[in-house]
Amino acid sequence: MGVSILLVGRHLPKGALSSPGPGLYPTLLAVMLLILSSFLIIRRGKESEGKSFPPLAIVARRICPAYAALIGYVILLDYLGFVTVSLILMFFLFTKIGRLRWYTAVSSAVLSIGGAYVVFELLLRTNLPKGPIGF
Amino acid sequence: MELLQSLYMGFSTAIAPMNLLFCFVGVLVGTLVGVLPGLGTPTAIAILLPATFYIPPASALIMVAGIYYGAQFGGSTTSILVNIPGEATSVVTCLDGYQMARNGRAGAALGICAFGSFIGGSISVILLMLLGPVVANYAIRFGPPEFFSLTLVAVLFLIFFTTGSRVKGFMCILLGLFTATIGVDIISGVPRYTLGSLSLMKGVDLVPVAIGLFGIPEILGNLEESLEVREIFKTTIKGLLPTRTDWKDSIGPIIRGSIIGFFLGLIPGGGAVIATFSSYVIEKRVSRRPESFGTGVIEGVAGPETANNAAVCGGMVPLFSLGIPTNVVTALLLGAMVIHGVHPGPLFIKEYPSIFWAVIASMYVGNVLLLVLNLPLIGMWVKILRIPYRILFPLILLFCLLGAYTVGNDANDILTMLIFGALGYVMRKTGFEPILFVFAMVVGPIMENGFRQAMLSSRGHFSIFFTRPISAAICGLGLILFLISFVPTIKERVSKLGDAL
Repeated sequence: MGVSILLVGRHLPKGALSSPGPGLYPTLLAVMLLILSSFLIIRRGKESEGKSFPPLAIVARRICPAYAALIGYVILLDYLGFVTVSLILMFFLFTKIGRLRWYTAVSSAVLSIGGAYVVFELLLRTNLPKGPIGF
Repeated sequence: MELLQSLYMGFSTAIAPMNLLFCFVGVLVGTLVGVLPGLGTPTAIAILLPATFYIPPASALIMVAGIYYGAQFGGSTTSILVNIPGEATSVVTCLDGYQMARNGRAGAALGICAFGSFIGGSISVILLMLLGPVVANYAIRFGPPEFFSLTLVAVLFLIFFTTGSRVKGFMCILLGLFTATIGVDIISGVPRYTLGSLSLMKGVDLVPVAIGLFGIPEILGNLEESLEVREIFKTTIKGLLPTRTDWKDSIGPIIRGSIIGFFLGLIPGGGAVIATFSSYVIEKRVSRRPESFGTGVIEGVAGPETANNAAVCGGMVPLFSLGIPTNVVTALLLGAMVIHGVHPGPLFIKEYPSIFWAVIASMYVGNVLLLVLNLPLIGMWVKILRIPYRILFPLILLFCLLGAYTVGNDANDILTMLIFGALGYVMRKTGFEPILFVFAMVVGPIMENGFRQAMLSSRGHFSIFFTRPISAAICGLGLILFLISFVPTIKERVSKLGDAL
């Protein structure tokens, strides 16, 4: 990130300390980031490592499908409209990851999307994307 | 007299039916968020922020503030009944609250939480009301060097109080500060780091980033675990109203908790979590039966639960009077205010008296609502706790998607949310704190403008930060508090050295 910031921002005028340009502050941030990164590499293993990654089976069965479904949602949203694409997403999440029976999943998806449509489209007048069938 | 008039004006706005409704919705949603483990306050505020775009600024702030202090209370319910803190501020409540439940006194524990939160919230609202305008009057003398010093001290404190690695914390801050620079530079008008994208010219929106960094990783993290219903301690909840003995034991901790909470809430990075721990430690120290702490004593619940609600109001003083947030939730509140065209700072109380006093008055109203709402609804919260996560998570995801989309009615905002969602997930797994990133992103513009303008006026001399009295005082105070925070570590090392010798 530090190197990228320096490279992308190399054309930005830096000015001087007495008259800082738009590129000076990000450059200072990038330099500090590089110094800290080097420090982190030197001290590797001595800093706290955060939570452990889950087993691959869980990643493959739950995390990846859920995230992939969200990517698919973004791609299809403008083409199919909010209601259709959200119904598909909710049905997928309820059945494939939540392991609900199909009829419970359908009713839960219809209820949740119906509720969201009423609140956001009808009450708050948000302009949710419309599909070929009008909503 | 002027104070009472202002308060009267605030109450007349706060109790207007529409604002009362938003206050009710705020504390209801806040309590729900607090009750549900795996859905934190920053996530809930980030998700619900876009829904406030369509309502007046005062109503929006009343609702968001309601979510904030509602969540502080709601978190205690899970601590007491399930031994799982709904919020970081309720961790301490598990120690004695859960034991009280096991001893058949869940009702008393929940009841004293409600009353303690109400009293702590009310005392700290009075302190906020008195202190806010005084600080604002003083802060009118603040210039760019003072704002830079203040944000720098706030950032350093946050890094210090971070639970993980400080190096990684510092890196998160730097990345957040950098993200805030993306877009057209407001001083020179030059586009920075936009990579030719038109949508990046206006900068990176806070809401999709916050939902991405908080909401998505929380959901993905919960998906790693069992999706079934949590085991709830089976007990009949009765006797919610504290007895005379309970009051006698709790009144001291409640008053001390209010004061500790409020003043620790003022300190950047301190806030509610430290307030609860400090309150618990102090109560244990002043108690005549310290050995019984951890076995289910009511003082161990009353003090921390009061302190966390009091800290909420403490955090509002720097926000309203200086425009500087002290934690990530007040940072999001600042973001909400800016989105609504309201700029908090030294002139905020003078320029927007109706909003300031309406929010203050709404906190009184909100505390009453919390009390009225929570005592009869505890049974309902327990039922909600029994909903399996496999039903909850798609609904939370739907709110995340809607929250990100409605910022600008643009699918690109959902994409931004997903990118930061993946980043947030990896950050959590590698020990980087997303909270610091978001905080830095909010204070970034204040910090950069303060730095550049200060450098311009001092002709490049850093001494400006130490020669101007207020800036020097802020830096000095920051340094003193910073050094004090090292005292326990030094003491520990000295005692270890002594043992070794």
